[in-house]
Amino acid sequence: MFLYNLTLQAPTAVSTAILGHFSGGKHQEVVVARQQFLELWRPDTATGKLVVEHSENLFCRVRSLAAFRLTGGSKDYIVLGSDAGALSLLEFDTRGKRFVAVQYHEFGRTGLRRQIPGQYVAADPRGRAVMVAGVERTKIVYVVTRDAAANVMIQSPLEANKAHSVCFDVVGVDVGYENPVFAAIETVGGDGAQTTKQLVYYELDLGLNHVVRKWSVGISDTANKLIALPGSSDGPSGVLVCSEGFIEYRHSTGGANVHRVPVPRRTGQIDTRGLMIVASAVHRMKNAFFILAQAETGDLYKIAVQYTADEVTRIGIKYFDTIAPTSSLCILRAGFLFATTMESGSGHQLFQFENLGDEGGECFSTDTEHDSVPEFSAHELSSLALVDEIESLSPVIRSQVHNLADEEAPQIYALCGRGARSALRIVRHGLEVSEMAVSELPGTPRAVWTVRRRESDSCDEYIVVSFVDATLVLSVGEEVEEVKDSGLLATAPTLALHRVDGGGLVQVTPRAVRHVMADGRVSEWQPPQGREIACAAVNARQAVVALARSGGHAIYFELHDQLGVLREHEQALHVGSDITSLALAPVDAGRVGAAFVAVGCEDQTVRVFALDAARCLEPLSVQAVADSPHSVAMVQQGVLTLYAGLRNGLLVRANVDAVSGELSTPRTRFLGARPVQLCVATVRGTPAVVALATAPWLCHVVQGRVRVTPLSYDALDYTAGFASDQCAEGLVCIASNTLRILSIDRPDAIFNHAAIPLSLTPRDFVLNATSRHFAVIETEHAHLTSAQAARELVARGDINESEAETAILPPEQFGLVRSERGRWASLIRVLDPFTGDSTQIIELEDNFAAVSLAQVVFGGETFVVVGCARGMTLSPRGCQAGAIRTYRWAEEGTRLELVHATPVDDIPQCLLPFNGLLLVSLGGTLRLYDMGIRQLLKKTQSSVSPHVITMMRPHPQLPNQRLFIADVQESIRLVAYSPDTHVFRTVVDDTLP
Amino acid sequence: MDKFGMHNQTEHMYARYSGTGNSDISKHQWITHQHRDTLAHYVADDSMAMLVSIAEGESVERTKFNMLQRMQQPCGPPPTKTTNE
Repeated sequence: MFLYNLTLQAPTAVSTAILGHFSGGKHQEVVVARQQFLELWRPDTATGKLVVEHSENLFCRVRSLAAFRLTGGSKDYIVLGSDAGALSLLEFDTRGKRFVAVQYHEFGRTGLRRQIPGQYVAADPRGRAVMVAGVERTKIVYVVTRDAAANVMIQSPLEANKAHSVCFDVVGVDVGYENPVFAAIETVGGDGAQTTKQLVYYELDLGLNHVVRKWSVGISDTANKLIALPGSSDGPSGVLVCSEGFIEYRHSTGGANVHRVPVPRRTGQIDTRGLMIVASAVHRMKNAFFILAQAETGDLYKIAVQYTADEVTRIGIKYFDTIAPTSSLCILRAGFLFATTMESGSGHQLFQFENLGDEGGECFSTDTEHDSVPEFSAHELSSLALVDEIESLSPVIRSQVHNLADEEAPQIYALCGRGARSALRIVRHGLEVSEMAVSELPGTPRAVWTVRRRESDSCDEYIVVSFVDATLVLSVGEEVEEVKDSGLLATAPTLALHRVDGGGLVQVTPRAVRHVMADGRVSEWQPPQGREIACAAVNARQAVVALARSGGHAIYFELHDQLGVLREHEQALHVGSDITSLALAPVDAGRVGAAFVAVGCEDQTVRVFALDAARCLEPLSVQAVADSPHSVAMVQQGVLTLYAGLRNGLLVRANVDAVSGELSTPRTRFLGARPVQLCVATVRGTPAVVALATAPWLCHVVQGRVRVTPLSYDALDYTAGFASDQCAEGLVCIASNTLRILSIDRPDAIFNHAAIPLSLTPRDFVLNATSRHFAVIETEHAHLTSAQAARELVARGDINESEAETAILPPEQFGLVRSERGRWASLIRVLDPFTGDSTQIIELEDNFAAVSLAQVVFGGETFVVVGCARGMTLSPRGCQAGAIRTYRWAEEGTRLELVHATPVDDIPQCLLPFNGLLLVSLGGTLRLYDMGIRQLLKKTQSSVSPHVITMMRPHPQLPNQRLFIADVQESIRLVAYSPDTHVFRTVVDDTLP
Repeated sequence: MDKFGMHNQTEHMYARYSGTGNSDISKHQWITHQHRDTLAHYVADDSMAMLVSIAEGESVERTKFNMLQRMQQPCGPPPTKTTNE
């Protein structure tokens, strides 16, 4: 059975990204592929922020992307290579905000198959044809045209297959307006015969409508990547072929004249093999172009090609900067570099170019012969500056769910990333909030408002804080300070505050509705003797106030256009039940006032009344709710939406018909056992509701849908939208006796994470529940830690002892030093997840690698057991010696203390506590150990699995009798333990391999 | 006998979809196809390629390259006639 699965979060790794004008506008945008998701990101060149415009689940595996523009067009299309067995040409529909398939042509079966094209797609730079290629044999070319109505059309496919050839890369060669040419790296040679690698040009003959293998040339056997150079009037055309350790220029007209440059490497390296180029970007400027290419170490190189009218004369390569290894690079015309990543554990980064790296550093070119690989010394970022980052969790190696911080919802603790960029990430459901200012207030405020004089103002003028018996007015500017001459009454609490058309303010206090006009005059309306105002709702032209304990008596005011004052409407509103809260509907464009008022009543209802002249104060609809409403709000979120926060902590959301005021589709959600206070704010230019319960929640529109997400922040009492010069879109909040200014940087994210850096690829972790510390094992193959690398270099005589401290570059930025296969770096770390400090790091010496980890209770005491292997080799699988190290928790669970190490004869791949004993898997064998004084004591052994056991899990109902084991090759089986004979035997196995 | 040209069509299908397998296929050919299918799948599936690359301590790009390289002769050269099973 195969099911579509829908995840809460899209995969965070980006496998490919392409640059183009997908909306057809002036701005360059990026389309990124996240496994089955296709997303449109817009790097905002003004603010330097990455904005996720659109994300869509395509329900297929996106394998490759190419941007494609028809000749003379202004909009880029997307060529999608997927596992659908079809070619899709997508367009971003700017009106409907989604990707639309403009052409779809099936050519094979679905799935990731070697002979079905889709692994590579390439577009002709002039937009006349696209090529789709498979891993083996198949290549299909489609001619793309435009019909009379300017729709994109594709003609029937043209095949260019070659049996037994494996394809490594395909690009479209820029040949101007001659016949389109695609270049491919492929192997030739029959099945079994000696194979060689060739660069092949496939030419699409537009006149004869067929594809020919036009030209081929033998290239290095390690060639893996092609970079197409600009052609025609912009460049020399042709391709750069990247091989292990060097890059060479090839073109069909180039003849025997091959330009080859080595890829320089860093000084002080232990591994001497050639570097492989993993990503590249070509940047065209006026009359010039350059190429940025990245090697697997993360080093960026700038490649410059000099050429005359008919041939390339020189290729120069120069070290540029070092960033995390990427999966694709895009250079924006506005001077930004966008780098996506799949594996590094850091995020997708947007850099700004500070310079083009022309100053300093040595340039290696084809002019000189290079006997040995040239070397350079890597430096900190000097030409690039990081401006924004979208975090990535990929790859997640292990994760556990705990509520260590005693928060409302548990947190996900995930081991992410690899190498020196790996981290323990604490993932929380909620939006990330950045705190911009916190200041103490005298006393405990009740509510806060922001107000500006004119609607067109971009910044707020005052922050008004209401206390139990007073009101404090603060001015917004460079400094936030108290204002005395605002005309607002300071000696009474404020119930509502709003700007009034004509430059005035209206302030509602329990004993008055005060209209402070622009010239400072105040007109006041006072409730009848002995009556107080309970609640109020105000906008720029209207005010509704409800009197306390009056059985639902409310008075409606409207701004009189000629007099410029608020006038009481001749009719009063009688609801019949005490009013707890009021809200005015937002004013629609083209109208002067709100059409509706929502009234929350003590009798557990929310009612909607009309305010337009024809049916003023006429009841329109009633919604019964589960408790009396604490506050109500109305916002325009696609449709007019009514929110009601109830005393029992429920949030009710209902749609309001814009004409009849009818309420429909009410939805209820529990936010926490506290009355829900609702406040209206603006998020990304659209109205949103902040619901304050035991935690703050944001109800906002993301990609056309309303989403209710918690904010990862303390509980708040009241909040209001806020805008100032420093913060264009923020929230001003009160929490107990403090005033805080917050901003939400990424309202589209559902999860936020805090990262605690680790130093090697993490493999597993366990929690000490009493001390709340984690024990983590980290293991890295074929790499050395900084200390090991320094020792190695000293031993080889490359550096002396005194230089050892500084010789190794910081691995967090430059990565770990590579050594040869069969060498391991490994450590055990004890970590405090609250402070992020490592309380202990045990480095494993003697080429030991930590493989597995478990926490076992022997005789009432908890031990941490680590399975280790010395000199482990992956293929064929084996090790020189295995060991199980037993540690006990010491110093209140903040350190580990070695009790003993037990030698074993194979790699202890999995460990599991079982029946009060320790179960170890060695290859396909299960072995039970008990605690001993000098080492673990072997109790029983059974061979149950044909190859290697990779995972063991206890049966959920019978944890002491049965367990599931997974074999590396032979699926999963259920194994039973019989305590009488001390034997494990297979009960159920899987028929599938 | 071959009234509808079935034999011809079958031959054509075999040529078109190499790796289909038939009763005459040798053990070496069969296992080679198995390996090629597996390797091609690992290359095409980014998550699998990443899993392998983390285990090997290589970059994803190099892992994919190594697997494509292995696709040419995943099980070594074909055995000579005498040892052919």
